[in-house]
Amino acid sequence: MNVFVDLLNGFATVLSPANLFFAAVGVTLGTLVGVLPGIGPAVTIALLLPVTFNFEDPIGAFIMFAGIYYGAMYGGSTTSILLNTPGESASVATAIEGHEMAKRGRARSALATAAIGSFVAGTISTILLTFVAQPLGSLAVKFQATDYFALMILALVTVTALVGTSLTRGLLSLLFGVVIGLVGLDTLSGQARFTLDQPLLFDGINDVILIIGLFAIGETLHVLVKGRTRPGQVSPLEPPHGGFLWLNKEEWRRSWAPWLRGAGFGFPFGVLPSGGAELPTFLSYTYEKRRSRGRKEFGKGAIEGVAGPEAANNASFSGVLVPLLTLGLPTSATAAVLLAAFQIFNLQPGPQLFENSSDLVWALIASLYIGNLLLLVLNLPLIRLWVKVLEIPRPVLYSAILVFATLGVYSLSGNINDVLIAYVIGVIGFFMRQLDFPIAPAILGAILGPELEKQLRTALTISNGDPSVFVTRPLSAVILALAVAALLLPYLPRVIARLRGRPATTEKLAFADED
Amino acid sequence: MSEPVTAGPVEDPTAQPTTGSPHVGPLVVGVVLIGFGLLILFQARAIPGEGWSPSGPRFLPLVLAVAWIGLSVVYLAQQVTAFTRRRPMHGHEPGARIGAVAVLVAVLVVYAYLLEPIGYLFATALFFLAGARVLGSHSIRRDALIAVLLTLAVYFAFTRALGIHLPDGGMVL
Amino acid sequence: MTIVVGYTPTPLGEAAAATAIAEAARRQAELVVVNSSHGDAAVDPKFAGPATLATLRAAIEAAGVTHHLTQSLSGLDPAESILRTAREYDADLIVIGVRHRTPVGKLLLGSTAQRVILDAECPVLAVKQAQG
Repeated sequence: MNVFVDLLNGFATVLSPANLFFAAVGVTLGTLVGVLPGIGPAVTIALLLPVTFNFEDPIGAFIMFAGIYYGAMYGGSTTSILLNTPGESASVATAIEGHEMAKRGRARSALATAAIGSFVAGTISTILLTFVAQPLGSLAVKFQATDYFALMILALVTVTALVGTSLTRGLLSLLFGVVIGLVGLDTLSGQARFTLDQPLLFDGINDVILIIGLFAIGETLHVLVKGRTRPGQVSPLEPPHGGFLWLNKEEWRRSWAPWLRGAGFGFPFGVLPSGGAELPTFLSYTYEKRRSRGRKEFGKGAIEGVAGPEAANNASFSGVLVPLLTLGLPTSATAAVLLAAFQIFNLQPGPQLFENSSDLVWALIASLYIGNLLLLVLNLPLIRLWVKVLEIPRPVLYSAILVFATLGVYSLSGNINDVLIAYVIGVIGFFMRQLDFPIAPAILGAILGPELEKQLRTALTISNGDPSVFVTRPLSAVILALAVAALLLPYLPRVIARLRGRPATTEKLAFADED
Repeated sequence: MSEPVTAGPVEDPTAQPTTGSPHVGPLVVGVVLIGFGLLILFQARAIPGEGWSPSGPRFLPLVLAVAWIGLSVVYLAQQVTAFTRRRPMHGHEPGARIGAVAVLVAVLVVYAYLLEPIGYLFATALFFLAGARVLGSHSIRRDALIAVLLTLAVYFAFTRALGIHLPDGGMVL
Repeated sequence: MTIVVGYTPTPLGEAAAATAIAEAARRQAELVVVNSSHGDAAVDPKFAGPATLATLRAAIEAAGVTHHLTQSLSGLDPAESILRTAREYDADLIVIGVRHRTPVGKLLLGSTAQRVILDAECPVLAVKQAQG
């Protein structure tokens, strides 16, 4: 089959010393930032984007970025288990059961089931990606502008609806992103839009500036306001208790099925525009909890509650890559940052990517296999080192982040004004965090906004200005209907509760914002 | 900041105190948001062109501005409701340590302006020291050592390994 | 009579605490345990958790010593924290752990022990970690 040849070529590319080096740097950096609460893969990739501009070959950069994402997932679970503070947003479920296990002296088992489960599920979903991506890509060739428009609306709406506690704030954040995305000269008509008559803004606001400002600078200012915090207690690692790879027979028996089910949740929900890893992780946790009703161990350190969500968490990344690579459709903030990276290298993800840049795509896919393996090898043996990272004083860490943020933006254009724009956006990001506005919708809005407008115009040009094309073409209509459903979905628990005559306990289903 | 506390539960600065009165901040923000909506509405009107055709450059900006104003009115209404119900709010008043934020932003701006005249090396080392200080560091000797090491490491990584130009301020290593 | 001890959940800190407990029992003094952190990292190994504090409290109570445990996240130097508490309680004796520091470590972090010994207004008992 063709896929195998392509994949083998991909491995040949990845296994070159330089690319292996990038993979190793990526997973190491990723683990570091994953361990640290408040800093996640999206901001790390954004900080590194300007640095990779000068790479002769984008393949190395993308291998590194994929490693960062995976590494952050592994690192996040370490912090969740040992410290009970999720290292990154998708590890929230792990923090519940994993930390209870650690408190009961089963820290090694929790870490092992998280790491091995991540490896198993990550590999399964990468295999799925390997076989699903290209067929889906060729299917996508038949998509028309109206379909793309509908898909983008769906992606924007789902992320906005799922993240954060208030739909109003989510939508405002989304609109803010789109406004920022439109700043500058309109590509079609050449008219200046939202530029406040400042020639400085005619070129628009670079996505990288926005991401660095909102994430890196905004987060630093937010941390400054939070001030001193009570240091957490790292659960000690108990002495090795035998078993294979830190898990005894019983734990292997209880882990393998949640791993596979976690992969089953992670991959499809990664593919669907559902905001990345948070939703499948949550679903996996809920499912494992339901299944083991008899055990009553949940909430007190059930290994299934670590194995399932961690597997789902990692599996979702390969899933997220499917719409990103085949349709150019990011479904999470991190995916949006990756899309920005593709655009920087003048690569347009979409159906043509597999033909025009098949080297890159297959090397990226192959690097996922390698990255997972590297992480499994790096993660458990070096666990004490990763925990040390948590002792870095915040003033040192965040000053360094500000230096990187400033230099990154400066090296984009060599223009101080861009740096100042990034600071202004950082202040806005700070206020957004203070007032509980989610960040992810703004990033997605800025990156998808201009694309959305392009597809809208193309569709209307083809239809001679008839707006009914969006509802008369069945595929577009269905996708748009899904988008409307997604807006209402988070309120479903409340509605059901009301119908049953019970007072609503939760206001809205909400998932953590990415970091 | 916090005084030593005797025995028992230790004072926890991370605990979110429940303040009796609701915050005024969100109300101000609501008004600012509406103001921003009006700004983008005027900006949308100012885009040259005929009419508001959906395939023209003025359509999406107009939609954005109208949706924005609508949503920010909803936001303000929500905040007013919360305020009048005197629902106790969790967390610190967002303005509590805003002064430190202003200082850090000022330090950042100075850094940006110094970058070219005095060069990357001095500007960054100075910024690191000042930034760490504002962020609450108290070990100036440790910061100084890290500032020098980090600045040099980044300099060589950027200029030698990655080929990125950094302003040298007339001094070349 | 009051004894102040600088405590960290490390072998050295435990040695200081053990000596301080014995000394307080012998002199029938009140024991004030000081444990502080800058509170500027996610984790600080020098900051005692609830479990460690409970163990320490049990050990003090077993010796029949009246005590106060104080923890602060004030951002003060550990030395400053100890000295301040000693002044507050009008301490008659301060117990601290001392160890060798590399010249670099001394340059970077200074020496808590040195500052306490030089600036204290009462006698200071320096405890070394048991050898081997």
